[in-house]
Amino acid sequence: MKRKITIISIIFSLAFALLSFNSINDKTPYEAEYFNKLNDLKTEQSDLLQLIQQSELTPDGIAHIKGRIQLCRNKMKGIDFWLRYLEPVSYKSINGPLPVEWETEVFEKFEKPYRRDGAGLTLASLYLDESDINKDTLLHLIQTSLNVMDVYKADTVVSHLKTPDHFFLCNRLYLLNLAAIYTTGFECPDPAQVVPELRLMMHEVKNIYSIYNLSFPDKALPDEYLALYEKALTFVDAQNNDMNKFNHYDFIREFVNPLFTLNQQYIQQYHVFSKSMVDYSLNKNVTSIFSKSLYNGQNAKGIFLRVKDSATLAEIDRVGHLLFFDPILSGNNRRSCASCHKPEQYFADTLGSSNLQFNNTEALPRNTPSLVNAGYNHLLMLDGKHTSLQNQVHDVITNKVEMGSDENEVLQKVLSCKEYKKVFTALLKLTPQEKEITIEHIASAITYYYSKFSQTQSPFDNAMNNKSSLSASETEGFNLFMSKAQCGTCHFVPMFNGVKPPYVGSEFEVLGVPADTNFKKLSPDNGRYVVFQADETKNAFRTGTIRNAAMTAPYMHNGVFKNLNQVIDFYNNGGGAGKGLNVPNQTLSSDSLKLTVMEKTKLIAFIKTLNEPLRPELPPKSLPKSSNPLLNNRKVGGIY
Amino acid sequence: MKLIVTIFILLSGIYSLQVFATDKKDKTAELYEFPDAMAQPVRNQFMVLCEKGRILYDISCGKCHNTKVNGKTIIPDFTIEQLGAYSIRVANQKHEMNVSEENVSAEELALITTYLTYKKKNH
Repeated sequence: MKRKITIISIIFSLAFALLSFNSINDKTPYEAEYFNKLNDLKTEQSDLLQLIQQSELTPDGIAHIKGRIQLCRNKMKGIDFWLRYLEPVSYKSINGPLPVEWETEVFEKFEKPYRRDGAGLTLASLYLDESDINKDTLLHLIQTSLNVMDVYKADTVVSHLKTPDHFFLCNRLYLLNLAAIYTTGFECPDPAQVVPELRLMMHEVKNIYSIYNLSFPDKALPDEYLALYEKALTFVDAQNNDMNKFNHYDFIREFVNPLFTLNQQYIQQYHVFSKSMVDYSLNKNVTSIFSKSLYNGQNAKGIFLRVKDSATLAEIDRVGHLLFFDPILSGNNRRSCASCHKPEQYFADTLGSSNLQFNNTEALPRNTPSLVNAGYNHLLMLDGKHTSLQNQVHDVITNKVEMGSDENEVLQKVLSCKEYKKVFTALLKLTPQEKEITIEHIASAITYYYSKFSQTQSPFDNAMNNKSSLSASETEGFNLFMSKAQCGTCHFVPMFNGVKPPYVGSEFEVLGVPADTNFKKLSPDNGRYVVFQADETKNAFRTGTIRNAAMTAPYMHNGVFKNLNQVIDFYNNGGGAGKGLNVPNQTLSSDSLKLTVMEKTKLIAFIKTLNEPLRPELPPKSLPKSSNPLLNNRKVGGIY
Repeated sequence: MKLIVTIFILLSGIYSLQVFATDKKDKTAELYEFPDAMAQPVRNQFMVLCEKGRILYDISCGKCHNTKVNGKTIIPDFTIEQLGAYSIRVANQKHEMNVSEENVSAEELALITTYLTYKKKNH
């Protein structure tokens, strides 16, 4: 009997061992597809290298190479779904949009910007258009893209393919990119190829979907999703090859966003969890791309992050409101936050010229940015100087040319008011890591207060969420924004700022903004270069949002343009370089966009749909009384 | 008699408070191990950060990570790899939920890692 049991158990354990051995070695059809496509791309890259080595860089030779690059791009598009998500840094070597990028992604924000060298197919194609080219540079761009391919075979990457989690997260990024970049010509050097490449990619992804469902029937992509995706394919197949005629509005509204909603549902339903930094700021619970909670930019609550109770939050908001209008925060008790960030002007200063310095005579060098939607940037200020909203408040208060106070003085003055002291003493208990009330408490109350004004949805959002619709010219304006006018390649859907999917970094651009409208010289402001010195950062500024643009004139870092027409003309003429200024590192093409008067009107009609209707905000009736009588004649909102 | 007893109790109370206070200060320093090369003023600054991190760790991490041995709370030693700052957020499924940006800010995470880096090891 005992022997029998032993034999049986040996047989069973052998069978088990064999089975598990099998499951380690055998690839699922899904994994096999991944490796096949990876190898296809590698073969195409090697062939391309060979062709370049054998070709002469004559016009004919160049045309031939370009054709081959396109074939390679097609293979890349077939696997983009995985590449971009599973290893985003290596992806930049396969299809980087810029030769050099200085990146500070949100999870690296305490570190110096990283230099990331771009390489690959887009840059190679653009290089072929330059006048003085050599083979070595071209070969290098392609060789670099081939070199990183092995990263995608590493265990750390491949292990993701064993479970379904990554699939829904890859798909989420894919859908976000369908809305934000795949239809705009971002990372695609030839505008004529944007729609054909999109079509090809969408069909390849359909294929990935069915093979995924074969391999993971338990967590399959449901029929509801597949049916809608099929409709999206039919829609795209029927669209004109010309990207300027592509209906971006319907594509996103009828297909991409509803598909995103479903995918988010599955992420919840299947308890998908992420192991990737790519998903750092995306919100799992959101049901639309056009929700103000799609991604987490800044922590508006600051030091009060852990406070969840609504009565306490209301108290923080109330004291934040008082402080926002209280000139006690300035060195001379005559300026408040509201002096420059005027609530009735979208928390900006639409007069531009009245950006006075602390000395009440000279003007500040930069245009006051709106606080509305400021929190959707990972780096703050036009030069990306600050990593948190609270740092920014702290800096303005202590800046000699702005509010001209200092940390201790502000604390002492604020706490000399009984009302402030009472509230902050109570709040101190909720921040046990701090032994006493600090300027962080004050700054956090202010940022919490004004951040609520960023929660309003615009008519455009409502239209995208199918709650209303836009007029024909507004819709056409959006389609222009995403295609011919090339706005969407820097102002990304849905926040229309420089934060693109997966929404982990802020982008900077060099536009060649002039000192004045005579275009005689470049604005002397070095921008990002002040914070971080590199050739690429000279005169670079963080891309602002188009939301509320119609309400927040003047425009650009120095407020040089007084209305939207001037801004659109500036871009239409190819920025500073297009106007003959010497801007060697301009990131904007110096070619004209060739927009017609009618097209410009439509663009502005669309931009106006991004106005978020803010409720009127009134200043407090009075300010807290201080024990120092000299402080008690201060004026609500300050004097200048 | 009653008065004498009250005074005695009060005095002993004050004394024990004082002992406790000095005790606490020494204990704080004992909680950490700083590199020998770190100068005292820098050490003091780090100690302030570590103390903030310690309190935040107790609130956000301790519940899952701490263990009790003979009634004594043991805070585990973490490796440098485990303390890879931002990767903490996606270390596992629980972290994805509990160490999200809504629950622990980037600044707080930096304080917690500082604390865990200089915390005295359990051996």
